Amino acid sequence: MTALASVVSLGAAVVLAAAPVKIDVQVVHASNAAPHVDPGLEKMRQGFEKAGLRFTSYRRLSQETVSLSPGKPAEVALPGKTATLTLQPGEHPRPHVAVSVPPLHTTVGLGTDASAFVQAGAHENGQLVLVLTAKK
Amino acid sequence: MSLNPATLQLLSAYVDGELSAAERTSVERALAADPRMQEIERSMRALGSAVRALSEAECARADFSGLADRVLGRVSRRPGLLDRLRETWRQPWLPIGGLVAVAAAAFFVFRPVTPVPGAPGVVVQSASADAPAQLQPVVLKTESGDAIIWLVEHPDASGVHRPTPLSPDKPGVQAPVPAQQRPRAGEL
Repeated sequence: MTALASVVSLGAAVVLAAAPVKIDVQVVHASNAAPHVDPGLEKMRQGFEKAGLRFTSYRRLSQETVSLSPGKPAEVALPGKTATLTLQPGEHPRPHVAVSVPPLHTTVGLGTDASAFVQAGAHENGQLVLVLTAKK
Repeated sequence: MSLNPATLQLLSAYVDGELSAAERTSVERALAADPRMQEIERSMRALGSAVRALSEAECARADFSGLADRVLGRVSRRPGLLDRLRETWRQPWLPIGGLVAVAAAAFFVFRPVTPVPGAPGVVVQSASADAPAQLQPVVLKTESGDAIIWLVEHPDASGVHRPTPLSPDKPGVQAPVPAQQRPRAGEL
């Protein structure tokens, strides 16, 4: 009885230890339409402008929190396409997430207080941007 | 009829058989010579017999059955160390506490294989595109540690998209690294 309980608690500990990483995923439409920046996207606008990517409108189309477990792909819906996020196994100072939003494929290490902006293709006279931020 | 206390004490010891041979001879000599002492000696013996008879009667009425078991029961009431440990283990809190300790130890042994965001900033490990050759991904880094992965048409032949490229920890352009040149454990 005690041995069984020990095995159960050991298994629970292993499951807890392999807890998923939570990523905040936003889909933003950046365009040169009438100037507008959705709340929370001003920092993105400034970063884009300093990087030489000038858009006048930043609109958030969706936002969700995705739980990623190593090796298990998660899909995020974008207008007309799907992005796939996969947490890479292994020990890293930052969670490594492979992002596939055709035709672009990238792997990013998501640290704290920063985001990865992945171009996700053209959409309605602008560009779709996948914004990935690791949740603390 | 009265005797001095020392003689009475000696006579009492004689009746109880507590005298040495010399003292006994001395007392017997005195008894033979003194009828008062003989009378007192008889009284002492009668009193002793009466006390013994009373004690025996009380003992006969007393119930000693099971006395040994009761005594042994009291003696063996405190269990041995092994029994006490066994008894302690039967307490509900100890197995639970033990399991919690095992779970905590297991948690540290099987520490998260999934990394927890700890380091600041975003680092791009790789970037590629299923696109025509003239369309290539570039990595733009911002002051706040963000990374922008963008497809650029006709990037410079050198792969550097700014005349003066900055180091990766500063804002600017970070050129994509071919997969074969990418360090396995390192970061861009």
